[in-house]
Amino acid sequence: MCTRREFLVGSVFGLTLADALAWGRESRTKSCILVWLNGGPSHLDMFDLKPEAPAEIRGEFRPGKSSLDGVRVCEHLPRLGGLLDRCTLIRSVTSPEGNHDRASHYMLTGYRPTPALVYPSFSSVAAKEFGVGQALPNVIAVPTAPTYAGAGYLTAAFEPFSVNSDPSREFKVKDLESPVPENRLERRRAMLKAVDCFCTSVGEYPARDTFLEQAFGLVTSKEARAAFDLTQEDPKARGRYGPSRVGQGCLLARRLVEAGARFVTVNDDGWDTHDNSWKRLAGTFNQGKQIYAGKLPDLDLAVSALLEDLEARGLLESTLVIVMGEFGRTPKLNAIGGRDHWPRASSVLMAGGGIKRGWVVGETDAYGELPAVRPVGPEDVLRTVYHVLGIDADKEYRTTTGRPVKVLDKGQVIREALA
Amino acid sequence: MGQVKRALFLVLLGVGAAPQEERVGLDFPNDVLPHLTRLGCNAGSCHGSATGQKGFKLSLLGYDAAWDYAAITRELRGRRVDLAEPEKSLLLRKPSRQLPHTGGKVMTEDSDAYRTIVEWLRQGAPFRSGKPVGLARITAEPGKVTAHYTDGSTRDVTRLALMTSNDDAIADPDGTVKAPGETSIMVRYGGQVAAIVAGRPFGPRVEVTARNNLIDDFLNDKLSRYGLAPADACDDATFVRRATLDALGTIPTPDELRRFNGHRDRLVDALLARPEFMDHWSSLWSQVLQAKSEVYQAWIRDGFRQPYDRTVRSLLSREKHLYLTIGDPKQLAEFVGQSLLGARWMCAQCHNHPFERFTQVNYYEMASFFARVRVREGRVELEQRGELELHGKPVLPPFGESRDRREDLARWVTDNDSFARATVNRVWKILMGRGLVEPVDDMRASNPATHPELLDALARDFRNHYSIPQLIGTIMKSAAYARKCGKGDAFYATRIAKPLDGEVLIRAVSRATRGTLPADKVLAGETLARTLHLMNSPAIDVLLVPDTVENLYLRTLSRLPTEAERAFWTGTDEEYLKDLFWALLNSKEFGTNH
Repeated sequence: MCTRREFLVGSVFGLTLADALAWGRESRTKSCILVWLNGGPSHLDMFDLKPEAPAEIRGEFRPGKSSLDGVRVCEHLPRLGGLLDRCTLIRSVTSPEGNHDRASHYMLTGYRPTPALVYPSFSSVAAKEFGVGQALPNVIAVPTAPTYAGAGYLTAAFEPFSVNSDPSREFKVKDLESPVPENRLERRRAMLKAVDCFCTSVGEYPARDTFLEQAFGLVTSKEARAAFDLTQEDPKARGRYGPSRVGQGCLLARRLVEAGARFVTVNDDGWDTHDNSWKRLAGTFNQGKQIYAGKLPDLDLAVSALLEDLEARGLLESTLVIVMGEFGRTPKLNAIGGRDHWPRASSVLMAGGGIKRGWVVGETDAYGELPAVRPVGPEDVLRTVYHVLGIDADKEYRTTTGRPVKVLDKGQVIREALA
Repeated sequence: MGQVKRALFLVLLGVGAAPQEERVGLDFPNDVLPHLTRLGCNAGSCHGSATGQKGFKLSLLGYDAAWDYAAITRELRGRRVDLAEPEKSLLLRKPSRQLPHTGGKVMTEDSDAYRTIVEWLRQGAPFRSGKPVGLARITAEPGKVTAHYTDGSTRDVTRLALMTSNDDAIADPDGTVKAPGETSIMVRYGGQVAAIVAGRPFGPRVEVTARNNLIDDFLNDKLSRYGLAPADACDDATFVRRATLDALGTIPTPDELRRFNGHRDRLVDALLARPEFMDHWSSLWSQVLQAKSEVYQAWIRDGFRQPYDRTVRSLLSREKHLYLTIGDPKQLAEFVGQSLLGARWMCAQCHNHPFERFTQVNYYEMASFFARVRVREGRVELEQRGELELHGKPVLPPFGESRDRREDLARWVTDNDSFARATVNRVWKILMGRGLVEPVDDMRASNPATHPELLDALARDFRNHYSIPQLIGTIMKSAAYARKCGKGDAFYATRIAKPLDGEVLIRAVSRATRGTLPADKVLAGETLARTLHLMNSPAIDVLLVPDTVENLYLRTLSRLPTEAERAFWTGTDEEYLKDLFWALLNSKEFGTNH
């Protein structure tokens, strides 16, 4: 035990009272929903508009109102704008990684990529710290985990469980349902046990036994299967989230969190808008046989419904919601009406458990090129997330070769984002 | 013997018991820095991290003494050292926790480290105390670490060396053996490394006679010394299944099982001659050579029966496949290290390798072989000029004069001892379940092989022919390969059971069900999704056509049911047999190569 004096001295050196208390108690934030905008969402067209900038920078979208005085977001995000008083918007995230894979690794693990080691994503760290779950897996990805959202150097037991099915289509978790009725599944299980018992050629096999138990638990648990069953949702409520993949994904995430899942990633594609930004983001856009609905209206419906729904059910207090992608996009429009990769500035939206309501962290310069105030890196964002989730980011893991590696080796908690 | 070793260590390591060294002429690299390394100050998790810690950065594990000296004596306007009042130096007050120190209290005021640093500060904190003498190497034996200097002098540095155990369950860093078995203790001093083998037998010496070829001589010798009697040879059915899975990547058909006439060596030869062997092993080797494109993979398959050194020389200097896969000179150098020579050079991109003598300069030198390679529209071209730079200075290849530098590199790689050793070690791991060196891409002096003489002998043999199929045959024909699985796989006393990987599992299920299971990426790796897929996939369920109990066992587990199993499975109706089929496919016996 340290004395009071030592404690106070310690606080001068980066250890604050809040830190010390947070380590002592269990976090009230139980779950996390990450809405991952794969490809890199355009900060300048969403949360960080620059209406005063020249046309080749500001683009076509006009700023719309928000529920926060003096803060404006894109006109195509009206519902989300109306909920900004529940959120913290970080406008000054910056990173040097401009390649999709490398940037995803940095944003999802808090480490810049190195060929020597793949780091675990924060969802897999959550799986390790929270456990993999009983019947329902603790860490789930809808429909699949983004690149580098996996277990990295940790064992495969901490990989997110991918549902491998699009919730906006005919949704059915891949291989969740047994092809035989329950009594026969029970018999199969007993027979499998007998086959294994007779086996003398293979010894103990704990990894496989764990997965098998988890699989039977998941298949036979009515609660777990009900959580995945979107048809149990009131059609009106289902409609509220919008028909898109991100919308139904958010609805599924809410159901899963309600059923006890700790970390759900909703992985949405189509944000890599190198051309025709306006159509891709706000209108409908046909490319070959592919029809893109506007990304912004879909996201606006999805996340606003998620936040309101969580709040109405009393779950927002205990659920951290994060909306982000791997980087922002170039302030200057390119020749084909798009924006290219731009990691130097991007926005991250957070809301719910442990996050301050109605706050904006940082700002970018006049053209949205670089943070002008309060730059934060991916490691700061993740350290804040770990803090809120009650995970000690200084904890040391060991890689398969025994090398000690911290959950995060850099970064500071973004204090002003905390409730 | 372990007890003697332990006693010896206590004498040499005991702080109080050790004789006081005469404190004349202390210097930084030889006297101070080793203490900082031993106490963990410059570990990767503390001030040795790439960005340091709280504004104080040291080189990782002390590889750069001059840098560290400057950081300690000059930075922060020299406040880290106080020559007038040495005890007031931050260098002492922080780690002894007289001032707050995030790293905690790492030294006491009566420790050897503390007193050494005080004395060194009193002497004016010199970098060198006498004429500069370089450290040539260190040698280590149980209980003693000796530094050898370039002027021929030696010094006992046991108390200054940092020692870490590769397996804490078997031995402590000080060499105290805790459990039967063997591991190595890594010793570091002054940027040099050495390894000590520490171990204890399982029981009294035993005679081990099972011998098929040279592999068994080395394995048996160790088993004898460690008093470990190996398991008996497996039965024929197990051998056929094992050999077929290893050679062809699928299970044998009931027909193939029936046709087996008991000649195991002939079976191995026959398997290695089949086209499926080429498919399976070129696919395994495509992973080693990072071949993602079909053209590259096909090229590997075509060359798989060619001498491997020739293949690698072509790959590096004549073919374009590698360069279309990896574009960056540094990543190409890492490929050469990791995939061809079994060494992790990538660590040295940012810092000198903490366990090895491979430096950052070496890293850039290796990359410089590729500095003039350009890929344009699917063609590989060589430029006339262009160099890589490190700290603003061009880095040139360390050897060779060819116009195409890649030819010099290709020759050097394939002539290199490590090339044969790394290749042998990879093949050994695929077949035996564990590398002689683990991990297979981390071969270095401080990570010795469990059977160094065996690795050398196999590498020597491999260099005579460079034929991977021949090497595979040699390993599969050893007595060690044919042992039963069971508890206690130390030193290959029993066979190590290996889970079937994705592609093999798909082929095995297809063969057992006589159907065609589509490729599915959820089957790669052992995960919950894979378990669910085997359990519930409708694509597999439709293939479960009932058959007799005997046939189901033959088709899935490649053996007949035992008497007990026959007596147990009494049902005859279709649903019952279908469910038994399901149970067999989901069993651990089916899911492993045992």
